Amino acid sequence: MMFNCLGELWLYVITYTPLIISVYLLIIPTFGIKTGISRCYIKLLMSIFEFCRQTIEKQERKTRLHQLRSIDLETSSDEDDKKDHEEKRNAIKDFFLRNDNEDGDYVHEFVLSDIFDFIVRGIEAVADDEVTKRFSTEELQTWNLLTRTNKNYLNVSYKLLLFWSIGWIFRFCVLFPIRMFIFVFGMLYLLITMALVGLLKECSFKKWLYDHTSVIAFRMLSRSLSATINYHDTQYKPKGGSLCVANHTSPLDVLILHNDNPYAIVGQLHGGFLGLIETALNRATSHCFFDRFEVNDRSAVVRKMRQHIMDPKKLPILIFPEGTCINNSAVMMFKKGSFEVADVVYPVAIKYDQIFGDPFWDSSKYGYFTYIIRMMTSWAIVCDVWYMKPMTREDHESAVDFANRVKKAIARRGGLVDLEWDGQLKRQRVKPELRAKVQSEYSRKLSTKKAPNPSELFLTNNAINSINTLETNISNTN
Amino acid sequence: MGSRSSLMLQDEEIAIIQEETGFTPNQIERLYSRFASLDKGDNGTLSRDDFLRIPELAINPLGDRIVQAFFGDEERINFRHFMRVLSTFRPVKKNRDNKLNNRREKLRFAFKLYDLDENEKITREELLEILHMMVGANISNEQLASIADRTIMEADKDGDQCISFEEFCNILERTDVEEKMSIRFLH
Repeated sequence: MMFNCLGELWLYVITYTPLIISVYLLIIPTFGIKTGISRCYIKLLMSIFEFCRQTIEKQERKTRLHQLRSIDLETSSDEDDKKDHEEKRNAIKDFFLRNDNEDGDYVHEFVLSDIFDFIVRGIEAVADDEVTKRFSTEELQTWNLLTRTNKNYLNVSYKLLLFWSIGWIFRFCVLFPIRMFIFVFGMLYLLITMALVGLLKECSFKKWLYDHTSVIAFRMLSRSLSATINYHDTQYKPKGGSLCVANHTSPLDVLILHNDNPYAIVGQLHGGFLGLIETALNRATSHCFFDRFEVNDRSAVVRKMRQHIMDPKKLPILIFPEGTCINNSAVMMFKKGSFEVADVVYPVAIKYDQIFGDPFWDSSKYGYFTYIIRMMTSWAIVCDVWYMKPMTREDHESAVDFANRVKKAIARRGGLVDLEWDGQLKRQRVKPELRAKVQSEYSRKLSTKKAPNPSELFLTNNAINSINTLETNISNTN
Repeated sequence: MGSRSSLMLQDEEIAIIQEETGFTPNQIERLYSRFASLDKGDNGTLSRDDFLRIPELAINPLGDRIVQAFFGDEERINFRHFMRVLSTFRPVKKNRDNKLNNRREKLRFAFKLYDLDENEKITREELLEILHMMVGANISNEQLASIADRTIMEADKDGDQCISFEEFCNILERTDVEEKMSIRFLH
């Protein structure tokens, strides 16, 4: 009897759960209701991670004590390291900055020790550099019970192993099926509504319908990743016929921004699964996807964008001027293209909390579908979005300077490192011009005016040295 | 992936490298994960190409020479070798055994960068070539030649028109090599 009851209950659960979830899925995103479930979930996760951190610390204190006895106390403290790090940021500009600070900005004669600066810079780059690490997963401070992150403490203690196993079962057997269901549901909704909207003729109703259906579809999709997004300063949300620029971590950025406001998307044409979404969106309204390696395409894109932003009835354009995904610890060079098109841009800073799942898509390693699966088996996607006050290009400002200014503002708002390096270094080598720039920088500091004076040949080294210092003093006082 | 290989560093290996180079275990682990992330082929060794993929090294006018200093005649280097070269740049500590990072080793590293044919002598031609690498096309050849002549003249004591390692050390006697040729390694 009891068994029968349970069986029946199970049947109910099987048949009705998807139904309930579907209704839930339709209602909640449509009206943008906040349930608060995900926030509780995030809080719970936080306390679990904290517990793990303490366990690991305890364990490390035990096993590592004998190794740590020889740590150099004289070497820099953590604070010094941080400061050092700050100083290293703009590598190209600062290549010889240190030299300036020490010796004053004077032109000096070549000495054999000039090579030291080149060597030290080179060795520092070998030990740690600002660019290559932006193209791989960012290092976490605490372990988040995911084995794919760069820290892995599985064999530290049984307690952790237990936590990890429970977490794994939860992620793969509970979260994943539910999320997959929501995801498929959302995708179907997106494909169908976009196809239907695409059938309509251009009119204000179509726009209204597109705005709503697309936002709802993206809200559903974001639920399939348990996305918890905090939007700040929504008064600066981009309006129609404007250009919105944001830092880029993964194609999820689009999903996250689109959750709150519809955009026309400008970006790289993808194949596969991402291509499917792109085509679906493109069917309904004017987005712009192109191949970044086709130069002809580029000028057409610029023309199209310029026309687009003239029309306030059209959706704001969303563009990622970095042109590639960075691991969300830094902002890299903004391509000037988008800043030539518009004089006013709406900057948006996006910062993920990587402890719940690493949103960085390493497109050189795996495809988008694998990426989505990884995201669905992570804990959650938690991020902050800051809308920023629109920025206007100044009268004599070049597109490059404007791009840099916007990039700096985004970096500051999102708490990201501001880099001048090109994100395309992920795929390509450094352009030789950059080396030439460093060479000319050094050459400017090198005195060449003085031809060797024959009488000098008989001077002793000391005499030459004193002449050099004398000259230095003279040039300093000048 | 870096995560898996960083687990492969055994405690014994850390101890050996610590003994040899003076790096702390934390520094060794950190540099090991750096080594692993540079190792694109995942084969436990680095090639010259792996080095030149670092943009900040690739823009360095002497980047190729620095890479050469790591490799010598080898085609690939392992982690221990990598650490040995890096340890030259550890800051010098008073009252401590500084085998690999003393003043002389630091100077030796710089000297080898000039000494293209590795015959323990910097000739005028070698100096010119390094100068050319440093300044590119910004300074004329005559001007560089005069710089090279002056530099050799100042340093050369025995009149062979070359700079030997001893002469190199002498001319840099008053330079703070310990400070200038050291970098801070993160813990």
